[in-house]
Amino acid sequence: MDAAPRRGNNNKRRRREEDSFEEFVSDEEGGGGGSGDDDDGSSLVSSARARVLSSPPLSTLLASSISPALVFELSSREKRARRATMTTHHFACQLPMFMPVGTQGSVKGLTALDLENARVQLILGNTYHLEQRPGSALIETMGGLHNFVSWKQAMLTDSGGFQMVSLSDLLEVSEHAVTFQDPATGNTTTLTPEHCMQVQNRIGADIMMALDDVVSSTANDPKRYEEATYRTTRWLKRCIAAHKRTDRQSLFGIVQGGLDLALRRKSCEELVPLNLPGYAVGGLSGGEDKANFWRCVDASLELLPENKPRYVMGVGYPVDIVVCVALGADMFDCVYPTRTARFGTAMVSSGLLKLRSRSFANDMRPIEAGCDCATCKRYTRAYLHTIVTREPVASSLVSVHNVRYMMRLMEQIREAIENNRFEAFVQQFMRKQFPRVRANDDYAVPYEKMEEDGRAPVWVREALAKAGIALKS
Amino acid sequence: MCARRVVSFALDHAKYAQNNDDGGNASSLAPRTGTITVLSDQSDGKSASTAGTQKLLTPTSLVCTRRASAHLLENDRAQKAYRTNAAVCVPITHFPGEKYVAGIQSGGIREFANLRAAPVVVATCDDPIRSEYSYSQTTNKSKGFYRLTPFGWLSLQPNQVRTIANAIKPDVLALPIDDVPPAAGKRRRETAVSRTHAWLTETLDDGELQGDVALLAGLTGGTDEVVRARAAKLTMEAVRASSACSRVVGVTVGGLAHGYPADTTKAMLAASLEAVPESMVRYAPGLGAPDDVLRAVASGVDLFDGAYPLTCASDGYALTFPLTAQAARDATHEVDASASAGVDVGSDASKMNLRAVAYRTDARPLVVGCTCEACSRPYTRAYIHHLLNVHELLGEMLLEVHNAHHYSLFFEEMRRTVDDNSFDDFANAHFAYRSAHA
Repeated sequence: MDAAPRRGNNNKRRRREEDSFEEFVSDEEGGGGGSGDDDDGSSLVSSARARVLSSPPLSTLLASSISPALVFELSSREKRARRATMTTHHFACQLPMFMPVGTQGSVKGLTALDLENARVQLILGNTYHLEQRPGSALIETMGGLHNFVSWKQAMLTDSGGFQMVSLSDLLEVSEHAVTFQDPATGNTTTLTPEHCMQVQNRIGADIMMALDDVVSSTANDPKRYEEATYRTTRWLKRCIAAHKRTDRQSLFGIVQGGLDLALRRKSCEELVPLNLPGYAVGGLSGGEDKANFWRCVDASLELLPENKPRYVMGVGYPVDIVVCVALGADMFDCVYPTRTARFGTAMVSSGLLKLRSRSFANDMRPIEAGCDCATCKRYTRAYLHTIVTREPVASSLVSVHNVRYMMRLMEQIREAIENNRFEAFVQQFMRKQFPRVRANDDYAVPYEKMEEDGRAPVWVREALAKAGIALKS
Repeated sequence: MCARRVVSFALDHAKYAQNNDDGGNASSLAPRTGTITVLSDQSDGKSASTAGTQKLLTPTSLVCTRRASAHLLENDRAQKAYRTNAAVCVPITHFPGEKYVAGIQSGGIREFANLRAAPVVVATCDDPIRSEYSYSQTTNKSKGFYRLTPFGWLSLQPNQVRTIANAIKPDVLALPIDDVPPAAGKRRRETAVSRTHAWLTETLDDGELQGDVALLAGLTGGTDEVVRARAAKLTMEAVRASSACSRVVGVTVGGLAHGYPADTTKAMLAASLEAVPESMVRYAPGLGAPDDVLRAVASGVDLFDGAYPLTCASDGYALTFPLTAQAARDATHEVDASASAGVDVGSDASKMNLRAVAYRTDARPLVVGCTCEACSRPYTRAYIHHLLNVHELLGEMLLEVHNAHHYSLFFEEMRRTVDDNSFDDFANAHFAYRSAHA
């Protein structure tokens, strides 16, 4: 290990990291398997590592984290919001970022070129679905998921934990494993933490998620939440032991705890000492009350380490993302932008355009003025109105816009934090989403009901107040 | 106001007259190349992309669209895949009435649906992808015709066709044809001829058609060569007699879409085209497979409907047939690896069935060396197989991109070989390759 320059007040934290780095390095020797993808990416992490080790600390608050396959550099902060760079084996991601979902190895209706043009940094795959078809063994033969789907930038695979909620009628959870039933054949698939790691190692994404025991956030079952929280920790330890490619892939742990803040805190306390390269907040965005949602995110983020990426899973509404960034989150994923596009809904800064609506029949404007996406440059709302939900090409056209909209939103957030005007950005963003009065030709509808006095919803104001951001009345 | 667009057609090369032994006006039945030119003036400053001259080299295919979008591809992506030498086909059945064209502004469908890059926009009364269902569905009332539209079966009147055309403002309008089902008797054929003729004369004479839209007159008559020849003669007389004569830049040869044997198709084409002047564009919807296209080009056809690469894509096939005479000869003697291994991949030597498990781990692009957007990334056969397997839209999209590219290269090679008098060689090499792998 190189002699790292001492980092003032961060000595303690740094030393802890180095210890863990050593641990990871020694783990590596036992590492086998994995897909044989190209080599050039490894220099990406090592050069980022060299830069972090040689640069002087920016301030006492800005700690950086290094693990063998991931370097996290915090570059600026405003209140709790963070601006950072996360360098993985394949790509240096600018955080905060949104990650579109390509469940079965394809972001629906978009080519890799479309995604690059939208300046997507990372796409997500889903372990459970990829293991069903085409199978991780095949993906490994084809040189890993990157090669298989022809995507050169970063990738992340979810563990299959979410399918415990989305496919909950078709499975059984025990201490040993989750057993899924195939809806078509009735065959059962068993997913243990060890198997989950083996599959994700074969798939070869930059970031892997630990298998967690996810309970629907609307289950309202305190005993089950408690069981799941502690089981998640036990499974995480099994995942860490089973992870065989620590030089290329980083394993993130997932905080659980249902809607119980004490349980959330307990989960964080158990997970943080395991010293993973990054952490996620899971088990939310499942239809729970927003008042519970933000408090759980807040409680978890408060206890997660400052110098590691924090990923709030399943968040895709722009309002929720802005609130979570204010609370200190860095990464988000959701199928929402592409799914809602297929249903004919476009995302704009003042809410949602339901393009099926008759009001767009003669509207010759692009989806959003000033948007630089390929669709807004070429097509009017009126034309999209004639084809959405009727012609399959419309799902691609609106998805291109929605994905680019998300990327632009994140670009604006990053720029605002860099320039220390994130608070002003949030105020302006919320004013647009929840305007006192809407212009006559603004046919957008809000994501959720506004308060009667035309202000942002109570939960938004409460969460932002907790993050130190006041919305002007 | 949008720019005026004036369509003209000029033959570039038609030297094969002497090689044909069909008698009569043999020159009609020779392979030929030509150029459809669209001149537009600059009256509309803001749409510079439509100003100037756009050219379409023939023989070529149309781009099939659904509500004016190229099936699964964004229109600019489709134009790129077709190497910007394909006319866009907009079936009026996708906008079957006043209320469906209400949103289209003065720029017509070209502006509305971003068809600005398309060299020529052709409005047709039949949807090439659904045409096989349409033929038997003519109403008994003499005027209207039944068509399967995205809104169900609808009866369209000829004057509605003109209203729709006035709204979508195509460069070329292919007039309706009363097609004859294969089993039809003599009376049905005669009715078809007189109806198609009535629709033509009505359109030519009533002056309802606005702008400079050029017309393709319809030729019908089923498999009966005598009826077809008379229909063509009648049509040409009507065109010459009309004051709107100059609008008619070509003909549509109808009734070829029913899968007749090659000889029958050739005879039908000959009967229809005999009376048609060489200077007219000949559009033959219903022919699309490479073998059919080669035979039709040999008979002097200029335009094809372009449904073939799309239907192949939606059936999970990638077009792979050799694109030059040399490549065809080289591949003729190549042993088909999968055939010799006894693997049934469910495809013939002109296309590849990506649903076959044989491609599960095949890391090659669809066609090695292909420069289309799908093959050049490269997307592998294994990935596309997976996408089809899990019903992801992207699988069919990528096949569509590749097939469009491959198909337009095929037309490019036909134009090249016609120009340097080696078309027969190309066609013969292709057929030899096909029979070696039958």
